[in-house]
Amino acid sequence: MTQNRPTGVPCPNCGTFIPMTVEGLLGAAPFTCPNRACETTLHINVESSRGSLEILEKFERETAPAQKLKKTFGSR
Amino acid sequence: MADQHKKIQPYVDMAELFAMPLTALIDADAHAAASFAEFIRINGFEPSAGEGFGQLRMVTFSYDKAKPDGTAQTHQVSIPLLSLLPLPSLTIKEANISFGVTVVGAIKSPPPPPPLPSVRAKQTSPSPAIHPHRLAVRVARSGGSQDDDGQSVTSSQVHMTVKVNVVQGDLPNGITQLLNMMSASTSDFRREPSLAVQSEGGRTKLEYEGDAVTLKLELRDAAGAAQPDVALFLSQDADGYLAFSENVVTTDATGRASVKVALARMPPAGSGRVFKTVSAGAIVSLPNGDSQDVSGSIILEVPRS
Repeated sequence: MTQNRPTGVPCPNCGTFIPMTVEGLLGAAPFTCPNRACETTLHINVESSRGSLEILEKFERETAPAQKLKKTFGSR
Repeated sequence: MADQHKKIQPYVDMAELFAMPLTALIDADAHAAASFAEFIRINGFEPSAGEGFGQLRMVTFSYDKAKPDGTAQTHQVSIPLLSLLPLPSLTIKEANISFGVTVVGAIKSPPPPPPLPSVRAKQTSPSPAIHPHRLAVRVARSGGSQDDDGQSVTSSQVHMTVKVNVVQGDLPNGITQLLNMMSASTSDFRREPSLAVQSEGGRTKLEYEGDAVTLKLELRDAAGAAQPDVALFLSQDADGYLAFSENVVTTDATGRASVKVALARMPPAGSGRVFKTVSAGAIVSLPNGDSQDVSGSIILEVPRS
């Protein structure tokens, strides 16, 4: 069970909130600003973020069983 | 420990019995809060030598942004990991506790706590207990009753039903402020070389013809490293009031250079305040093999005639 606060970052170009997921971060997926007039794309710098990515990976591994249960039974 | 369990009292003060599950709930909430703080410390911050918090863990992104001339410029932005982690802030929203009690008798109230020194001075006799006796109870055995489904319950165990509703708590104010601060401090670094132009001593006003200031120039690459042995070209806007000691200077091992700028001639009478721009430019090599123009400038004021 985790905080409902959306995770992400304000776009450095226009300030629109860019939602990010742990799965996306671990997969080094590009994150595009949802503002159609901006569409700035952020690419994670894997090398300089290695320590933080290891923490995210550990978080993902440890919460995976709970996430699986949540998907199976839904939130009640 | 096993002996302690064997010595469970057959009855307790009813007030204590009511307080026990409430105390357990408060303890549970406190444990959850402590776990949350530990989660923040371990995941959001680098390990520190002591018990405190180390440096914030950051995640770095790069993105391209168009410059006014249409070419793309790569920027880098560092974001605290905490703003990307789902934060498990749990709290007890509601608790329903039900149990029956069996009154086994009355017990004498313990003596009241000693009064404060200021009160004690005025007191002549000890104050009596507010309620001289209290009920001694134990949790009732559940037997012969019916549960929620209407089934008969025959257990002879003492029974306490606790239903706790745990929800996502609001983030504590301190954490919210921390996240806001982190958002505000999200740093953006331009991956572009820079050429700083400053006047020695901060002096930017020339007082008379022949008066001079020394300009300090500093060239750095996108990562902030000094750029040695690069030619810097000096120029000024129209009118040519200024004279440079050299029009081209080369950076030293620290990426620095200096040039003297003098007022060559006075502006015409009635010109009012006159400001002149001195520009410095260079061409630097980028790591990808390209080259890029870098420029910097400073504004100097020349005197009225």
